[in-house]
Amino acid sequence: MENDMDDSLRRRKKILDYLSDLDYALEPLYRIDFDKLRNISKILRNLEHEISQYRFSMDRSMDISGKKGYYRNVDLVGLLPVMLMSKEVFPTHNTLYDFSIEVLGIDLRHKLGTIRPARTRIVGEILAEVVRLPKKNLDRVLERLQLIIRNRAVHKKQDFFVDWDSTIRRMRSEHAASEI
Amino acid sequence: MTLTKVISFINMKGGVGKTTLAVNLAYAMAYFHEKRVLIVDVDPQFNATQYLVDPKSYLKYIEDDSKLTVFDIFRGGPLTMPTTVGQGRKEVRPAPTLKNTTIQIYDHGGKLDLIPSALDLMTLESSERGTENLLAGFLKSIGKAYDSIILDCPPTTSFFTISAYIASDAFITPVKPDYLSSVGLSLIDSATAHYEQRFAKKVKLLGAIFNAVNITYTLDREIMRQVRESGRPVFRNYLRRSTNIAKAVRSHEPIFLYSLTRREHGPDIRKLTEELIKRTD
Repeated sequence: MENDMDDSLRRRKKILDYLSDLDYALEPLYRIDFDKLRNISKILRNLEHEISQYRFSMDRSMDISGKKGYYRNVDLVGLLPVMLMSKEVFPTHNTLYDFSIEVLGIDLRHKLGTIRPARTRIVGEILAEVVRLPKKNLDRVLERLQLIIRNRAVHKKQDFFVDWDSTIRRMRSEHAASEI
Repeated sequence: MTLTKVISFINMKGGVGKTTLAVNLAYAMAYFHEKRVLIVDVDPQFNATQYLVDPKSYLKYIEDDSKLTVFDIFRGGPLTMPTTVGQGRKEVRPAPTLKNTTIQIYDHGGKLDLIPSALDLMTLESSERGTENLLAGFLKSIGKAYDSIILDCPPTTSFFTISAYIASDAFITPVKPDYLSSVGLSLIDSATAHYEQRFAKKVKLLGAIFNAVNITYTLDREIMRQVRESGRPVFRNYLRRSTNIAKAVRSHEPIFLYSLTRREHGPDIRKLTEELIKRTD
């Protein structure tokens, strides 16, 4: 009889522990603002606009005849995670690892071990390192990002032969006109 | 005080990788060794310019009258035209200076600048005597701003190659491991011997650099062995063959930074650059 009581108490205690764990696990959900979630598409659209603005500023910073330093005005803290998370800019984890080695000199593969980490984890590690960088090295990060983005832009929008062919044709016709 | 070293990339044979090597070694000296490097595109085909600058930016550059190219260096002083009222002359294009001839390509620690070429350079082929010294004079005037100046020359023995030879302290001969290309080395020997006599100037051959090597091919190994045994100085390191190198050019990126080549061919460029610096020191 006494044993049955103990058993029942143990079961009740187990259920209470489970409910307590469940409460703990579900706690973050209580903080979700479902009204904000309805606006998610708007947030994403803004993000897209921000990225294109960033690209535009990058393009302008490469303008050989223009003034330097446009990209310095861009909010790097807000945009760096967006760029690093972008599969368009960094298609694979390996590209993020390469970026980390070349720009920060840190072998994240070694640091994160053999288990395949989530992309967010790699990005987090990179950001933590970027925060610690001195100004000189930060310039190098920007330079590298600039090259990567320009490279993507070149792949998407330009064709080496077609573009140079039309440029040379235009120069030739202008040259001929000036001789007349 | 560091002396500026002017190094030309010369080979009478076309398509041996003069531009690819000149651009990448110049870029690597700035990127890895923090050197101040200037690359001068002396070739009327302006391949080095096409490699480093996108067409849109180039067009904008040459349409700006205050920006000059290597053509203006060969032209000498400022370009003037008679004024409309018929008295005196007005300056249409200024005299070349460091500021108005260079395009900044890279600037973080080390720096890489480019003096671009121009289509007009073709019209200079039959220039009067004496103009071949203009490039040397200009580079001497701006030399203090750089640790190294790299000249990318055209194939064939032209006025531009002679100008580059006169301006140089040393030269490098890029060569492919094929028979026609390797025989080109003998032609360079003859040409440089002729220049040496004509201009009373000896320019040091730093060595031949093998490009587009596939070391698994017996023919490539055989030609490389024969050239080394001929007694000419040859770089120990070389650049291996890959179609992806053309993609790096298309992207206007150096081989050691471009995603498809940086792992496999990046080390080739790094080693070649280290060897080049050792040979020039």
